[in-house]
Amino acid sequence: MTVWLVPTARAISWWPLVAVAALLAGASALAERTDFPVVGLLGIAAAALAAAVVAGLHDAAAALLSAVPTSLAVRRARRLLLLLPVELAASWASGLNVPLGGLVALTAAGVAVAFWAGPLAGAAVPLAWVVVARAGGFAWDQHLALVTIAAAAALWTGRNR
Amino acid sequence: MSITSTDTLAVTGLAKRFGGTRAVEDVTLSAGRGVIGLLGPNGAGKTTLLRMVATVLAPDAGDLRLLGLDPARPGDRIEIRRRIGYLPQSPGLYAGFTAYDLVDYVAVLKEHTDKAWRQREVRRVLESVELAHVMHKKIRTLSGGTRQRVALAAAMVGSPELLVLDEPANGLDPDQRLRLRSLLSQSQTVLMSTHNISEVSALCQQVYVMFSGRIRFSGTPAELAALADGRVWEDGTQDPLAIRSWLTAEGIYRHLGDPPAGAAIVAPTLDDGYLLLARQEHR
Repeated sequence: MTVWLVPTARAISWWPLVAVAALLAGASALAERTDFPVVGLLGIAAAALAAAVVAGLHDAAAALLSAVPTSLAVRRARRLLLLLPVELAASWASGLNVPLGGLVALTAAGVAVAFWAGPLAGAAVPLAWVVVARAGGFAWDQHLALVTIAAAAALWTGRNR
Repeated sequence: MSITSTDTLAVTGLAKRFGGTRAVEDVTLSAGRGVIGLLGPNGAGKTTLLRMVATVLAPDAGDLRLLGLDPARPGDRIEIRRRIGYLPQSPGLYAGFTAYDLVDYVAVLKEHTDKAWRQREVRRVLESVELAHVMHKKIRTLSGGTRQRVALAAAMVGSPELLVLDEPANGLDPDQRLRLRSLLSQSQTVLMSTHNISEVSALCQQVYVMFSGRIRFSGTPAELAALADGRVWEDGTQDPLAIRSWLTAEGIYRHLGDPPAGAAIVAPTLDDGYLLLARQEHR
């Protein structure tokens, strides 16, 4: 087993992802009982999951680790390797059928912003995206491939940071 | 000041801006073996300079060489990071980790993958900062001074050739400060910022004083004290012409400035030299 796996998993603050997963499971169960249409919840659900993953990139010991040879990009990539499967599992377990493309695009956008402006700013991106789309009256799940590619490019550019 | 190729640390004309603020301006310094102190008031640019030396922050201008390598090149930067230790001013720690787990994780991130070696090394550094008895306690249960020593142990893992320490004595009691001095005096090259002048006088072979982002003094602690030679005097009343006056524990006034005729001149301390420099800077 890789030596970084267990300490990295322990260093991650899991509560945002666990809280969102529990909330979505509850909302899904409630919607099923009351025949509430879940379609309206999908954007919020995807944004909340994406924000929780990005929040998991916050590193309490970032200052202490800022001069170790394992770069910030690698440390964050390792966190994502642990966070993303849990995000997908939480999405699946909620039973809400959150669209995978939307979830990927929102998460990628948040992670890209987090790499350049920090995890708090990154976590705000998916939520702001869905809220602004709703307020503006346009669909949040447009141009998902374009957003994902742009986010991947931003991450590639910042890989040596 | 001459910079040689054998210097562990060689900085020439280093500068860093944050927006319109010049945090560090035209800083040149060098260090071989020994402990180098960085003095200056809050906001003088010490932390920014140390962050650049620790390869955490890229300078806007100037030349920086660490261990003969150029941190601007990604490959060199990684090699430098393998060979330095950095203690930031506010080192965040994982509250749920034990001291041992945290230092071990730092060792992993410093690319030490041999478990047996790590076990020996983590114990060694924790013992060196006298934390053997609490190494398996959760960090959230430790005092501020003990946490500071955990962070120091993390910076020292792997016996780095260059230690960059931003106020390492923060939160330490006098006894712990003495132990820190003895620990640092055994290290290869240490660049440390401090507000504690007695630390500099006890530990440092070389001292740099920064004001407003610039180095205003470089020399030995004795040379810093000598700046105030013939400019310190004591008497029973306050002298309004002195540039600084303060009442000592003995109930007499100590004055800094141009002494009046017949004044009782006393030998200057490091504090006197620093205060005189600070006063000249703010004039």
